[in-house]
Amino acid sequence: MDKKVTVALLLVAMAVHVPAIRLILNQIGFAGLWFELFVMLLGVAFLVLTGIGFQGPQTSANQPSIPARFLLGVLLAALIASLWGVLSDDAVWVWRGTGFCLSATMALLMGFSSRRLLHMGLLLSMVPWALWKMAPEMHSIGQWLASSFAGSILDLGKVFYFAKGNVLGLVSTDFLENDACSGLRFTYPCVLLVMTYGFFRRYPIFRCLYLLVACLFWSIVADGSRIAYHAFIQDGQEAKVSWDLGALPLVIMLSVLFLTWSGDQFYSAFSDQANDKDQESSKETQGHELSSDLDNRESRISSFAAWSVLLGIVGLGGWSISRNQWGHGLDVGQAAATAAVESLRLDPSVAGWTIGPATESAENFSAHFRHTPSWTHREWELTPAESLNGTMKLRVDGIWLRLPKLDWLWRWYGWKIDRVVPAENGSSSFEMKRSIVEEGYVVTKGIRVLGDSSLAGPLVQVSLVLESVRPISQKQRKEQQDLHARMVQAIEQQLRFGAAIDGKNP
Amino acid sequence: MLRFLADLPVRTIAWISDILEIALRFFGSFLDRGNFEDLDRPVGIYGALRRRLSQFFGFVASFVSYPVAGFFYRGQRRRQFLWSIPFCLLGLTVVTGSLLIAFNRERILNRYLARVQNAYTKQDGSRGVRAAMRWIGDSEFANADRKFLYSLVEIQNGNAVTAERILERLSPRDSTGLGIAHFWRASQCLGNLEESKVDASERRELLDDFDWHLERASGVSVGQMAVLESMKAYWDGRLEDAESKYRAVWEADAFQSVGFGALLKKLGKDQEREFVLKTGAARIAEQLRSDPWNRALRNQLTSIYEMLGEWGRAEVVHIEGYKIRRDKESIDAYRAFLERRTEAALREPRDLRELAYCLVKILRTSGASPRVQDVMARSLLRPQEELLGLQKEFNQWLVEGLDLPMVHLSLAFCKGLLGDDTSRDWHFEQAGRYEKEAMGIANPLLGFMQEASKEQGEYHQRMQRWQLGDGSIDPKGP
Repeated sequence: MDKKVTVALLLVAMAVHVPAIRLILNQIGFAGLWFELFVMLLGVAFLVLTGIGFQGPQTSANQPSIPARFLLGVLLAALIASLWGVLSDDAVWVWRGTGFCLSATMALLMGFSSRRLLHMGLLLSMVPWALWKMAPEMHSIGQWLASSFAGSILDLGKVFYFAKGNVLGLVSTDFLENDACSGLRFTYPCVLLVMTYGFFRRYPIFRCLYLLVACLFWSIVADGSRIAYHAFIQDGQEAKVSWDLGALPLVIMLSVLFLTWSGDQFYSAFSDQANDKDQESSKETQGHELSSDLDNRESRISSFAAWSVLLGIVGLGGWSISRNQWGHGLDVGQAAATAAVESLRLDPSVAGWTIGPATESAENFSAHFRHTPSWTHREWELTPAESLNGTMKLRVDGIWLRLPKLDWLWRWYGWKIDRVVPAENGSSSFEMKRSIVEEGYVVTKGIRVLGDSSLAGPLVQVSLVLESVRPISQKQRKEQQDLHARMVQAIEQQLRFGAAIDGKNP
Repeated sequence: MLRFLADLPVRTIAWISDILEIALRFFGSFLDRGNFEDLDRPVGIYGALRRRLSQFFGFVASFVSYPVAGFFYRGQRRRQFLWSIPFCLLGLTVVTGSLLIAFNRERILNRYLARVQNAYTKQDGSRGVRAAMRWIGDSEFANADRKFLYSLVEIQNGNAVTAERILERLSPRDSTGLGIAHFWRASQCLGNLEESKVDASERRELLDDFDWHLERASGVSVGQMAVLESMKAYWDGRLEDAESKYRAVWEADAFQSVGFGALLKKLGKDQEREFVLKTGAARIAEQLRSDPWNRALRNQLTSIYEMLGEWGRAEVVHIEGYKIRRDKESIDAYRAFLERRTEAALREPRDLRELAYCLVKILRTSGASPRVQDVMARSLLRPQEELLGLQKEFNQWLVEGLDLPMVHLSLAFCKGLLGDDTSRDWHFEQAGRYEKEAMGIANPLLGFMQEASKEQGEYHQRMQRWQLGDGSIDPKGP
């Protein structure tokens, strides 16, 4: 395989995906996720530096240190990721594909082994967690486990509590522990550090997975303990106890890392693999030795296939550039978007409904998987002019760069959601039930905040919620849908923007 | 033979030894982690299976013996073992704790159930509801009886609609349901039947529902069931039967006086009704004397007095109750009583003396609340002759020394509406002199009266003319 040709093609493949990378960087800037990005890059840099220190037998200048067949596999993974990203309009996957290309480039230039290439690629794939499509679901499952564990501790401590989905409430007080149960706060940096540690120690993939599982386990245990501690302090207090977190998050994070490392010691002691490093060193060397049979026929075929795949990645990037798929970027800053939502004002009455400020909702919290450093939530109460029956709540939640599943909030609070039904005007509605009598109906829609309609931009979720203990009639639902359409129109006019979009975009 | 018997002990020992050796070899092979010489290595499917099995047993044995074996490790492995202690100890604690909770789930939920029962007994509805939240969504634990308990605490918590919905779900038409929920549904049907607006078809439907639920009702006292059966007889047109059944219940339980009185009224037996109510009141008053803390008895007694129209006696019973228990429930009961008394006084033909009394009392207990504003407008924005009559009654109450600040305040409004501005201001100042807080009540009341009198031109002008100052009163007076 001609290393220069391969590196040149890799550089071109990365260059054509620069717009997607820029978009992700814009999103990271908007969401204030620089710390997560820093930790990820720190991990990669650490692997690169330690890799430079660990040089195997040198190959010739034009001979790659990686077997062609392995390189082909990595590039195929990059192609699939990029293809998925381009087709699903998700720049995160393009980032991942490009991450593998970058790893391959560095590995070829610096003579790294295939294992190190894979490790760097995997680390570069770890885009900040909040940008993952699955982030709300992952947080939801993790939080459910953490809250359940906190519940077990409270049961052992004979503190009476109840659970509404992922959120705990105490029997002795009249509010939910929304803040304590708002998500796993330190899992992502822990996972990155554990991955880096495992890769640095050149552990086999099974052991890396074991460490990851241990890290996630201890994260959940630590978060559950934090919630339980919060509940212990709050139990029996009529008013909300405010307390300064101080260095607690850092202590918890260090505890998670220590326990994961302790788990690693257990693995070593139990399996008696004291000489892991030596074994892995020999494998690292093998990675170089494999390049000795580069000239055989099979290797040549693999090389041509790898170049073809690279050309495919280049073509894909070219295609997305020609469509200006990622060129739109974010045309509005986080501060401007937040200010626009914060300044929303609604008329005091609309179509026979009086709109007033809502008492603070019990079911509201600052989602940890949000896309802004601070969470924006507005809420109004809508009362029909004739009677107090059928009072609804209008919520504006956000700001999102990409809407999560529209029922995320209600699932978090333990509502069982019926099928989400999209409507012609872009809004969606769903029925929900909880415990034995609670019923609800929600009409919701994502609305862009400021900016040009043709660009991807920040969104807020505008929802009209009716909760009742009586079945909600078709007439009530229709009325709710009409009212929601009016409210959306009023909000869109204030945000000086006419288009609303559904949950699939941008 | 003798030789055989002589060898027998030796042979027995040899057999036992052989058996032990075979057993040890067999079980020992499982614990031997594949430590086979190449020639001994088992081959074939059986051999592979045996090898895997032995590896598995070896793993389990190492795992179980790890906490002890670790202390015999040397060198780096010993260090690793020591550092793994936090992981093992905490991990074991977490897993054991979680398993402990999982296996004791029923016992824990029973603890919460007891909490709900306790809260219900102490009438702490909100806490009861929150404790019930732990198990109400658990379809296995929350059986019909427990759901019924939940509905009771919801009622205590003020969520009657939620409780009704639960009871409706507990008494479906398509399955058995819970007897007591059927009883509640039957009572609900009865309440609906007695509403005057029900037309013939609705009545038929309600009667059908009433019969259906009554047949399945259970879990309440015989007397309570007899009441419903008596009412069924009434609605079926068996009036004699209805009366005799209810009478039997009333004779056993004076608490049924109000209900029986209502039935007798429907049957047109007013004299008998009065006798029943008076007898019932005497019986309950007797019981209340021996148990003055009993709130149910007190409420029942006031209800009977109210039915008899003896508002003054009912008020005395309420005030007595408030003196015994100065809590929110007593205050609410008294306020509700005043509401009923005021409504009765406002009914045509009006009893002006009673109305003046109620207005003063309601002003005292509820301030300038929207409800008081409404009563004020309905009482004072009336024809001049009636207003003059009401003013006379206020003056009479003034002479009798009833709540002077509130009587002066009421008189100020009467005088203001009648156009006597000098007397209006004098009464207003007197009210402020007796109680400065009365001035605070006057402001929102005047605003409301100005708004409410818009349709009555003269009254409106007079109200508009009245400008209240900042509420400061010269202590020396005019």
